[in-house]
Amino acid sequence: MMPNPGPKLEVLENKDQRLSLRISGRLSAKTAAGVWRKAEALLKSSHPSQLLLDAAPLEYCDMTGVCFFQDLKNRQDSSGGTFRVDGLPADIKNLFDLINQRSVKAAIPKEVPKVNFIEAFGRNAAHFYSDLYDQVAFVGEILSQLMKALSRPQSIRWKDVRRFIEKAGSDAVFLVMLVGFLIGLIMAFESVLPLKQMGSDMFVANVVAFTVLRELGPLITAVILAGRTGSAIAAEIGTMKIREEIDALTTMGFEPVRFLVVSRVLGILFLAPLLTIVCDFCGMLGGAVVFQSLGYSMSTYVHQIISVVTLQDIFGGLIKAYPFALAIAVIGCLRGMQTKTGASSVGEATTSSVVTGIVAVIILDGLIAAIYYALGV
Amino acid sequence: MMTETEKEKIIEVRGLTAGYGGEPVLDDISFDVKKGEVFVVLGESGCGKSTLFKQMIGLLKPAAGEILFEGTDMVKVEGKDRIELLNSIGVMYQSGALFGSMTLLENMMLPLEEFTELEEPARKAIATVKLMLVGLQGFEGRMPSEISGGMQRRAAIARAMVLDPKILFLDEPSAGLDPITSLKIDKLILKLSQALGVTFVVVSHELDSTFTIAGRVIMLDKKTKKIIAEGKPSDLKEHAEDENVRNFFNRQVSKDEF
Repeated sequence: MMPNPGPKLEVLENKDQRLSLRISGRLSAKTAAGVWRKAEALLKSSHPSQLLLDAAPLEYCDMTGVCFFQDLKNRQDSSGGTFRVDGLPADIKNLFDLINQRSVKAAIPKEVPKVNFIEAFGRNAAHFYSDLYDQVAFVGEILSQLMKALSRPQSIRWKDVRRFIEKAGSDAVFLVMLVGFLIGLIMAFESVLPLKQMGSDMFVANVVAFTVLRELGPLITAVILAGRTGSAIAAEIGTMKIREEIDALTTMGFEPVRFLVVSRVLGILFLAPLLTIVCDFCGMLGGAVVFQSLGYSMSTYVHQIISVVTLQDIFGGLIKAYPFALAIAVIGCLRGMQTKTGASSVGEATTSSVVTGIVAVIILDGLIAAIYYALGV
Repeated sequence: MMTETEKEKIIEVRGLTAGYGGEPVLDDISFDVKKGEVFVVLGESGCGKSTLFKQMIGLLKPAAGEILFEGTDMVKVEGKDRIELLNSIGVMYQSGALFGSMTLLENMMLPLEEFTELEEPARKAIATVKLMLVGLQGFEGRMPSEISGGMQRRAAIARAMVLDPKILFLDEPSAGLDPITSLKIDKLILKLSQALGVTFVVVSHELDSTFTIAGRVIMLDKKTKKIIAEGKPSDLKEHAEDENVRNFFNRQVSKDEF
């Protein structure tokens, strides 16, 4: 490629509010920076009421040049001066005139009015309120559709439910196994030291079994489901939304909520307890590894667990999986349906489904703990 | 004034073969684009128009052949020379491909910020004028999602020419637009080509628009994977040897196809 020698700007005359300039060389986007800066500085220092530019010696000039002349003209217009450019090639002159005609018509771009703190606060509050309203309304709609569907089981698209369970289950199961195993291992490991000080390291088995079965199993599974499955639901429905597939369903006479949401909610309700059982089992397996390293046998571990864990503990944990799963599925669907337009909004919907999902699961867990406490479970 | 044949070649495509996964879509095609002309690539859906387009702008590498821009091979060029070459062409994508997280003005100013030394006011002046040229004055602060499809298309053309490229590649500039907006875009293309000598390579299947803008067309064929016609659209409509070409230009379907 040829090196581009920058254009030159000479001052021919600068007195009595009259500034006369001559420009020569090659004026293009890559070379214009120097002369543009110089011209700007000259205008700022001398405030001419008449600005004349001789462009005849220019070897090359393109749209950038036209923009340069237009910028000079705008500056002169706003300071009440005049501007004239001479010696332009006919084509460039035409273009310059054309832009000039338009710029007379063109309004100054509207600045977005600045929002003050109080207004912004109010807007956000109103937005939060309408978001909350939407969420409650949507949850209501989903539950009513779910009830309707369950009262007429033949109307449910069982094929979709099965496909969803296969896909979501196979995606999540190994993750659940791995995380469950590691959590059991870590729990056991952390509890060994304090228990050993009291000479009761046998009780590592109790600690692992109780915490995993009652609390961590369902919670970890729900967090993984929110991250893996809830986000996938939001992304899938969100993509359908921006590609107008949801609109297509509506105009074909489907109810999108029933068509898309019910099968997913049912699928995840079926999956969550199963995955929780897998997580419980792997967690206790993780504990067993630590327990064995303390020198006890596997049968001691199993016996220890069986002797202290009641059915109440097991089912108390498993039952939690249902509200968690419901929350995750509903939030995933809600965020997907709330997707606006454009590819970036799918990303936003996905992120938001994970965040809201995890927060909702933890809040629910707290509520359930309080209920269990009150019931003495 | 130079005659058509004497005009300088700006792009030369030589023996281009391209396809996906061993299946060729284009088989050994060659053609030239001349300086300052509006060159239209035509063909029915699936004939390889978009593939050819992506090869020419360097997004895909051909299986064989070369694509020369004033002697520089788009296929082989690397590093700084590649950036230089890419800066000398502008591309408008069918969907606009405006960056969704930036306003129109920011979309326009991005290449200026990265590839020139212009200061902020100068960049703004260039961006504003180019938006004005495509009739988008007053929309500088809007996000791409806040304007209509036709406006997005025009903004994309404005962004493609923000660095004053010598060659503009347009992918279906008027597809899916109303006749008036489509005509406006055609007029804009003609004006830029006449006033600035910008060379246009346009991929299209809109006949009206092709007759309005095209200096020369090539037509690709789905079956042979080669060029089946080359020349002025009005000539091809009347005198093309191949029946399929005449049918295409006259909007007819041969009997055995329907």
